[in-house]
Amino acid sequence: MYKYIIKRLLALIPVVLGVILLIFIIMSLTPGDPARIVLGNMASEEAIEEFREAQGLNDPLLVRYSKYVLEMFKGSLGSSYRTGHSVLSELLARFPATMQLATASILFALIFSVPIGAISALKQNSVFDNVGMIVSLIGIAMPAFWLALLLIITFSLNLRWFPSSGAGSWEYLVLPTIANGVSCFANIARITRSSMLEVIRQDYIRTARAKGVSKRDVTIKHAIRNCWIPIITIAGLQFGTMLGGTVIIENVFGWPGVGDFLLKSITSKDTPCVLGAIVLFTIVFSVVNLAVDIIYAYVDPRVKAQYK
Amino acid sequence: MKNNVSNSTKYQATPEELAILKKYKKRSWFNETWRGLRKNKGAILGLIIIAILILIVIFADMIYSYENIVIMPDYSIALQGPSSSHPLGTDEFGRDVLARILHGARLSLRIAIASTAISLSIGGIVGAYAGYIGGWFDTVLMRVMDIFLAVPNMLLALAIVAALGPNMFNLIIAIAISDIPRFARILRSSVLSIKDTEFVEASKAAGAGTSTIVFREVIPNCLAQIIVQASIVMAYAIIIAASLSFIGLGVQPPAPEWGAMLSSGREYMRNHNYLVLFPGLAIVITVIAFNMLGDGLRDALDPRLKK
Repeated sequence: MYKYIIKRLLALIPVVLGVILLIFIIMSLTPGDPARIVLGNMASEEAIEEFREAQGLNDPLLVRYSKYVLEMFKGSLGSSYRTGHSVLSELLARFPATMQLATASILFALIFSVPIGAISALKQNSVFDNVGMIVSLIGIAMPAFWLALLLIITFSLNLRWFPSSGAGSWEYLVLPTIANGVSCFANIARITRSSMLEVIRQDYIRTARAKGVSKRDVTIKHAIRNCWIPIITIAGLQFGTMLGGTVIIENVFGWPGVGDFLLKSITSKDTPCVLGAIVLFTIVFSVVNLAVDIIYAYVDPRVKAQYK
Repeated sequence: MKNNVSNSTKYQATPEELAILKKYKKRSWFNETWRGLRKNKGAILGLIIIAILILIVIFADMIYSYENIVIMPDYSIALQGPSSSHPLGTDEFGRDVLARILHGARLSLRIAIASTAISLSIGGIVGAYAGYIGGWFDTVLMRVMDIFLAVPNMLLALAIVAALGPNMFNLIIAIAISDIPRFARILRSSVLSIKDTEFVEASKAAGAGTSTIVFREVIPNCLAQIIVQASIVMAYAIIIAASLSFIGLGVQPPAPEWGAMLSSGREYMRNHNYLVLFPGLAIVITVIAFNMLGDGLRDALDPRLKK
């Protein structure tokens, strides 16, 4: 098992290097001179040339890329064009807020979606099932930022229950968590329902019932346990979608996280910060995917047996 | 000699047999799918909504003129709530919200269809060739796709549009690129599953080259999955396009993109909540329609569910 984890962590390195190269290529497509964009049109030719030299912008793409990677292994992601601060420290300062929001969202999604999906399957075609599935159909189709606006209008402008912007006590977390977690909730609920529908028709469920095990025990001990794999898979994938979504949700709620930072850096053409934030998101997403694979082993003994 | 053999062995079917043949021949792939789809109320509803959207796209200009109503400010009627003359109210420039939403359908559908078509053709060809040729060609292409997949979809699109500059064309390119790996993966796995079947072998034996086999044998056999995936990707493309326009990195004002409308409506939402309500509803309804159609198609095309 440990061997497998280490192998997977090592396999992450080429992916991250590839992602950095990809983002480097994308960023190099920006029309115009980055130095001119940062320093403005009034800057003198000398200032521009000095900036280009200082930032290594005169080097070819691959040289810049190798320098960046070398620096990264030394623990540096460069410094911001705008403020001159280290990108890494800027990111680390904002990272806990983003993780807070992402974790709260995924927990919110899991806590509500799994029971709702399971009950919908057990009571297939009931009113509960129909309402639950309509809600999740809407949840998937709803852009997170629109839900965020609706939540702000209802719960903060009209009812004044929760603050609409900022961070601090738990009240600030409620609306962003819901807005960010709803599509995840909807996806997991649908997957739980469909895999539960498949599982409860299996022979071993019928056997358990025939042995006289109560319906409740069959559901909790036999049925749901066999649904965990698809649920965890979709939760892992949704985590990636959610990380992308934080860029917008953090912007709407003024949440001081990496997503908000990324968006501000994009607007101010601060390439090192954009690059750093995307690399950070990619690493987190890859680690979550790895975690998903490891969790498989814990919920399914058959998977664990393969690792040995 | 050859002719003689085929003539002498030619079998004459009886009328009853022909009738049976005809009955089965009638159930073409399209027919079969349509039968499955018809039973699914959600899918039909989705199809109807999409049909209406397409009609709106075609006739939007006849209902509301783009130049005179959709983008023309009229400050005398700014920020009016829904009324009989402006069913969904007017925005901060006095432009009719309904007119803008109807014209916005054009932009959203254009973006969704164009980006899906691009990602489908590039991703599909990459995946089909990678799966069919195999070897190092496959390994290299799929590792590249893994790198694309390692970046969350929205972030990749965001990075591309941030680099290229915010406008509709770049938005389409950004969404298309971020969706390429999905299609590549699907086509590749479908190709792997049918690569060793007899009809592909027969085609090879008949002297067909790689491209002929990929385009004439492999891709038509993966059509079901391609169609299902395309409808899901289109739904997602509409959300991403609206999201990027919302943060100012997509379609630029005064174009009536739904996300951009929400972005400008946001400033007035305290007192004029209809400005953020209706464009959002338009997005949700469109996305639901594509999702329901996609779900219905998947059920209709999935052989495992066929009775």
